[in-house]
Amino acid sequence: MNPILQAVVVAKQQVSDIEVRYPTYHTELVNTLVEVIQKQSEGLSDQKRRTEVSQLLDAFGSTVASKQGR
Amino acid sequence: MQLKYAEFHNFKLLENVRLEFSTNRSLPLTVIRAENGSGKTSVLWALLWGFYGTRGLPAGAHELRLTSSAAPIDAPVDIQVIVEFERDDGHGKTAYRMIRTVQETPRGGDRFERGPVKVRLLRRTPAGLVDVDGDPEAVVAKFLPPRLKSIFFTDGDDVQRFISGESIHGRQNRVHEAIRALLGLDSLGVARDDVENVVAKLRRETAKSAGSDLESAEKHLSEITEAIATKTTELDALTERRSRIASEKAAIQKELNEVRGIGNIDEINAEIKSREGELARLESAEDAILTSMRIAINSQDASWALASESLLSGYDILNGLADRRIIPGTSIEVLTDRLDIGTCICGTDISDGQSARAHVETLRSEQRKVSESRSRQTQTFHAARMGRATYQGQLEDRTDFAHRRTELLTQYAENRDAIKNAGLRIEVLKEKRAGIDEERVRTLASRLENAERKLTDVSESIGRLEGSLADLEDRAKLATDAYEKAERASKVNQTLRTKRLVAEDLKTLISNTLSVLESQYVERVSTRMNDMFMEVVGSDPELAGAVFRRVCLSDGFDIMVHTIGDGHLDPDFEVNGASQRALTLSFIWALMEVSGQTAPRIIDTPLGMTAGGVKQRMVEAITRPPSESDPPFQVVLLLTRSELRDIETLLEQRAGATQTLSSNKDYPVDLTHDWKVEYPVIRACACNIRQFCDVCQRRYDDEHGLIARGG
Repeated sequence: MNPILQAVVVAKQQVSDIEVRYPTYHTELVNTLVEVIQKQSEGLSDQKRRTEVSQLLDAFGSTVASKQGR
Repeated sequence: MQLKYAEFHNFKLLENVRLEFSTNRSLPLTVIRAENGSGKTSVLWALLWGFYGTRGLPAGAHELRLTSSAAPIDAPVDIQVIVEFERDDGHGKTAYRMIRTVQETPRGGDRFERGPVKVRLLRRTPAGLVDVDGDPEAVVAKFLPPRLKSIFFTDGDDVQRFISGESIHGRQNRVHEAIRALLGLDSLGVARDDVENVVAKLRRETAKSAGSDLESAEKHLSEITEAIATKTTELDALTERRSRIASEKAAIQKELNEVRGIGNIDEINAEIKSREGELARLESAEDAILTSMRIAINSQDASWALASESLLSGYDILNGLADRRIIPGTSIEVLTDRLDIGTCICGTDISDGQSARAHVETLRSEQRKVSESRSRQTQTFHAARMGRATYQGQLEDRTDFAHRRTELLTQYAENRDAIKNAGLRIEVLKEKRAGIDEERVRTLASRLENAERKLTDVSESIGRLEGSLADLEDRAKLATDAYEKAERASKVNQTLRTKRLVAEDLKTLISNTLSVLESQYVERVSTRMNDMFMEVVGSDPELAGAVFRRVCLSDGFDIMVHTIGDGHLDPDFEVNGASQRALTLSFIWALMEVSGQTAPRIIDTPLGMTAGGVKQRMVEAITRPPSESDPPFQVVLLLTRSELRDIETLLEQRAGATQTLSSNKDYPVDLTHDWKVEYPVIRACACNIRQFCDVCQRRYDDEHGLIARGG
């Protein structure tokens, strides 16, 4: 049982509407989405989860900036 | 996830029972045959306890003992449930074994002591079974979320209640929750809020690093975003309130319908008034009939009818006398009359100066000369002749006294019956009226009116709020443009900007994904549910006499039942039990199929209220093997012999595993063989739905055409 099974299937279709910042950006964005959702099943408080999501996106954003040469 | 087998040790009467489940994709059905009291519900509860512990048991059963009520007092009992299942975790199938153990000591009556619960989750590896990392219950909750247990483990009654929810506030809640959970809408909604929070934080940090213009633009945008969040929360609360009021209204309406089940007080009062008016009219009609009767009895017609023989005989005598001219053939009055007219009865002109007139005048003179008695005889003769002519005319027209009497008596009898019936109907209505709690009807009607008023008020508030939100969203777009313009004009930290843009990309991706799932995927569930439901209930909207036009999911994820003629049926109150079951199962099957989920569906006594074609089609639909593009599924039906009747062949075609459960407490009344066990216990045997053995044979098995296993 994977409650986000279809969500991921649809996200993979919908990501084509997002700007391609570099060749593997779309795949990484969907993977990040999965990680963000999985944070909900770690039994964290709302605040702790938001902090961890923030850190996760911070790290991904840095990677994107680095790959874009910024 | 699919169940492979389960073992139950000392759970209720399941002393040592092992059940095998079919995991064959083309044979998705497992049949467990068991009569009432033979362990079906215990198996369901044991599985729930095995996966979730006591919190998995139905409400009210959390504090119940898990051991047999016949277990010896003060003797500790080890209870254990082992469930082996497999799931595809993306790298092929992995087998897991869940083991839950607890020791319970009966202390007499309902009292018991329960020791600590031990739970283990093991994973099968090439090297053998190894413990899974982490909390076993948390891991299992990911595989089979407890909040969706009513989808996976259910019984016939619960299937019927699934749509309506457990309270008026929870109407169709389980439907909403199942859609949100299985399509991942809840998870995506939380993720969107989490990412939105990051976007706002990054925007603040970017603005702070770039100077006052950008800070000002960010502040303005943040204020609008916060206002949108506040209004959205208000809107959610109002929408929830509207849903609650609608549920309350439906419950009031239901109670009102029940109270009015005996009749609507206003309608009854109106009918009593109408019937009383009718009674008054009938009583007047009776008076009129009686008057007509009195007139008829006092009339000459009655004399002719009652003494016609004597009167006719008298007339004949008088007529003979007239023929012999002993009495004049005409009366003085007639002759006088004819002389006045100037024309004889024979048509001869007898006006003044005519010779014939003299003859008639002579005749009148002669007539005047006859005696008084002759005069009376003459009058009587003429009266009799007229009476006879009238009587004979009435006989021909069937308007004589005898016919009139019959007619009036019939009218009288019919009117009497109508008076009696009207009186009885008024009595019945008055009794009905007395049986209605008028005060309750008034109260409920008033509450219903109040709920309708509140619903209108809330709907208007929602409309205003939606307008306000649309306005704020327009302003947010302008503020975002202004922010981005200010950002481009500023020397912002490019890394921070990229982080924000990436977070916004993610937010957009989540929003778009949510939008597709909420529209297209819910529509797919809706369409599939309709197809399956129509198949099960055997309804073709094109056929004359069809009731259901279609079933569908509304925008708010409510199941709607549309009828022929553009009407609706409330699935909670206005759909029969078998159709409610068909609707729930169609919804669950459609949702599982569209969401691509693989999970067991175990249903205790699902066919209790179904029969004939609906039963056949329901089993046909819920056990049909999945197509190649659909995920596999597993359905376990716990059925009595009565439920199995007439669908044996279909079940044999679909079942990959069949077993029978029996209880020795049915010996000797129903069970044929004595197991020689001194306490109540449930045992499983390998008999399929056509067989019996020394464990399961029952006294009426020959009625079901069963044969001895191995015989």
